Amino acid sequence: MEIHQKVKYTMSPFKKNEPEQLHRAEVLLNDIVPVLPVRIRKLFQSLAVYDLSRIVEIRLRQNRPLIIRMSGQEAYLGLEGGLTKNKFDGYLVSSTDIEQLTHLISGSSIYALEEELRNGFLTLPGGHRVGITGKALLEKGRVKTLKYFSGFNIRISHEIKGAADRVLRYLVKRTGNGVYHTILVSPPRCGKTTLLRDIIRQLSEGVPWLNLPGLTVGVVDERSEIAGCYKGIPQRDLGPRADVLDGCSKAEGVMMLLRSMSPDVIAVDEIGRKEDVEAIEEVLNAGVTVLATAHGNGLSDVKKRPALKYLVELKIIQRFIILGRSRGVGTVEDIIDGVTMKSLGVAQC
Amino acid sequence: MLKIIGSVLVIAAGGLAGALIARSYERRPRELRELSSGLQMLETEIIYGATPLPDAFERVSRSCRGAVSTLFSSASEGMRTGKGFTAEEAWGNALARLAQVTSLKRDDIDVLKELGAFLGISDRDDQEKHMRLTAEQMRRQIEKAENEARTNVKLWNYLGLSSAVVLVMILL
Repeated sequence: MEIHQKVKYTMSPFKKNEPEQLHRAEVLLNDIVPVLPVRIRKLFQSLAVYDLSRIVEIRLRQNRPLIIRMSGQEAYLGLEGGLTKNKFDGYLVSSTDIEQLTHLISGSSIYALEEELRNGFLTLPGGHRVGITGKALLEKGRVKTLKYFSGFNIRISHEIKGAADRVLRYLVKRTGNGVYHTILVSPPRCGKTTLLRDIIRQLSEGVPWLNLPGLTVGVVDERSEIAGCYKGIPQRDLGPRADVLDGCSKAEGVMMLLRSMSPDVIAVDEIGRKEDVEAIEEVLNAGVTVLATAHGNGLSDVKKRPALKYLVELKIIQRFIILGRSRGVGTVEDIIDGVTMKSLGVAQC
Repeated sequence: MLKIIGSVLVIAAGGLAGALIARSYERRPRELRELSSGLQMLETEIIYGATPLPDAFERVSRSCRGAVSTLFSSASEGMRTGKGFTAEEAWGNALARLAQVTSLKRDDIDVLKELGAFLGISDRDDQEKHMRLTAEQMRRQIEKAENEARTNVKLWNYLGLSSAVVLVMILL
């Protein structure tokens, strides 16, 4: 027990920003820890608040040590509590653990989650996503469902309210009637979805300091990451004027929203394929504003992908926000005017 | 006079005791039948409705009566405590409670307990197989219970009464 305390102490030297830390730790303890297998649950409950608050991903693979990813680093879950860098002190995930986890994350209702398993992930209450691997069962060459689960990746989703504060003034038109067509460009895990979510929330609430009234935002949430829907209900705050189509493909979803929900803005995540770009063109033609994200290290990467290159060269998208991690996750590296292709100069962000 | 009153009391007590034991034999097949129709409903909820298990338990509980209804509702509550109970644990706990208040035998409870290990952790086809298997096993239990009931109900009714009569005769 003494050792235990010592580990806790040495792992938590920082005391800054405590309310934020507490909140993050609470999210983890309330949403994630109850779905972990009993033995692992106990170890997590004994972790220090500082450690809990930094966890971004929990990876469980059968017969392999449990790995915890924090922003920028990894650790094993110590057998004696605490976190460890030594693989041999790490907790080994057993087949019983995997079985219990299967029960708990699915509410013992795997049979009700066939669609989710086909996509390889499901969403927990609270909007956290669990990626799953196992044996795929095929039917007519397509994945029907997964069986014999072997690996889980629990991604803790944190909403950061105010993440969009520093970019909003570049998106809202000077005249105050609406926003520019915008694409967020970023490599994975740089805060793309978090930023998109907060932009959606602020647009849907309205931005008083920019004289922008609340806009109706239609969200096609193909990967259930923007709104983090659980049983169709958004678990993330998207403001009062957001309509979410959960788990729907972009091409179909966009058309459904255009037809029936009369949106001012349509937001989609991770465009890249030809169908996605066609859907976006559809939105542009309907006179509705586009808000989208794309993978890539800057605009030159985006232009390497044929479908996106076409979109960029149409010169219809008015703003490209380039994200990176040069000054931590979610750094806004640049904002580019899509028509003149010139930087709007955001070195201060 | 006292002797007559005494013997009447002894005979009545013997008859009653026999009838009570006979009653418990009658109760078992009835309870098994109720359980198996509950399971049938659960199967429908799972396979055709794809209803999440806690909800499915609750719905079944609403359309059952007595101890069977309590079984399903307590399983549903067990899963919803948010303390991380798996379906197997919740179902096992609910069964343990059921065993205390019914005349079900150990075998019957075991059949149901076995189902718990499979509940909800596979796709629909697989669930259907397990539910069918359990239904089949339940049908066999019902048959057994009915056979036992047929012979034992009569036996205990007569046995209670006649042993009381014999006792009275010895005492007189």
